[in-house]
Amino acid sequence: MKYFILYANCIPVKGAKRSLICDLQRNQYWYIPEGLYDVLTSHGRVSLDSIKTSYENKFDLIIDEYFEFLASNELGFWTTEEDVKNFPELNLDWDEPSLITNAIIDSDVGSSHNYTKIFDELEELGCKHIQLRFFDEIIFEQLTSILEKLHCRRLISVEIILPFKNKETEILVADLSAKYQRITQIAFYNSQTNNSYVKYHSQIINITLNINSELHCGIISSKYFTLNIKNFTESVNYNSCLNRKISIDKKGQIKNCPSLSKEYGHINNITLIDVVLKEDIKKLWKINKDKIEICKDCEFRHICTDCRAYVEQPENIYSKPLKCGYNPYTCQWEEWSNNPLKQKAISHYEMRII
Amino acid sequence: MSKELEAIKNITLNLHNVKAASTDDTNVLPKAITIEKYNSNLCSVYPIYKPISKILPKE
Repeated sequence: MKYFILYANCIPVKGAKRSLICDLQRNQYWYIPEGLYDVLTSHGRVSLDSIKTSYENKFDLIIDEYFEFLASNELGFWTTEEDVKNFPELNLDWDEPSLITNAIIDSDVGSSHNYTKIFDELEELGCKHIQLRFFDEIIFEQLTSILEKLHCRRLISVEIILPFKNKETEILVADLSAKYQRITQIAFYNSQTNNSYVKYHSQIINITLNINSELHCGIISSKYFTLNIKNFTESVNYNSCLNRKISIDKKGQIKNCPSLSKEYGHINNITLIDVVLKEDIKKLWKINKDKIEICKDCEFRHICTDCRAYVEQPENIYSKPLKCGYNPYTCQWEEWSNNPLKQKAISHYEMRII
Repeated sequence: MSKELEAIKNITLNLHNVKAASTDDTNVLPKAITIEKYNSNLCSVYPIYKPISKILPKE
């Protein structure tokens, strides 16, 4: 008897109106209807004949068509009953050896961060990825001084977001990726054009929008979808934005994210490790997409990232991200800021000023 | 109609809609949508597995 098995890296995700097969190895997803999701998941690993029989053989041709579609697109394969046990499902557990995997450090003209202390403590936590966001102009020498402090650390990547000054400065800053090879991305906002290019091993981005505060964060877009085993499994178990993240806002306050109001102390008065060892900061890490209203019915929930700072109902931490314009019940994307139901929250966060 | 039959009917409807649900064109089988890797230049030696923040406009 013929048995069909999805490849372990091809995982069906059910949505309210349609479902996905997420191919975690090829970074691809496929839309599938709820009927096919049911065929794939409701019967367990049974033979094709058993599946057809369960529908009283009324839909044999359609079921054949489906399995042909899955096989021809290399989403699964045919095998025999004896071999089924040799293909276990992918373990969707997630863990990391680091207490913190990523960090955001915001600063503006009023900031007086001790970057040496911050980087030392992030190093101790095993942090691998850092994003530096400057909401005011930063002097080139100051920037190089900060980057110099990252020398000989275990850090993997640094992203820099800063205001555009002029083309000469852009070239100077972009050239820093030659010397500081941990830089993976440099984004200039308030720029004259929207474009991006590659310099050495870094992505250089120019954006005309003036990103002058953390209020701009939290965008939910299909362009931010990420499909890989690490992100998928983390999303299944934990919050896809805040898990193992720590941030220092422009005033030096330690937070989950600079956009959140909850503070855990000033970086000059407490160490990051002291904050991370407390349970308080970990509460938001555990809010995965299956706990978030509307998101739990969305087929994209495990390839999307989350935002707990700006939500549709500010008093409800389990409500949908404010800046998401996708409706899983209609499968339509709309501009989130025009939605009349979001206007109250937009006012609450004082986003009209941006 | 029994629950079972109703379920089968629903599944049938969905099965017939498979192509429609997959693309805007009902006559075309679904195509894979490939996600651009974050930092899509693919030049980073150690690509980041997820966005650190979502502050940059993506349109």
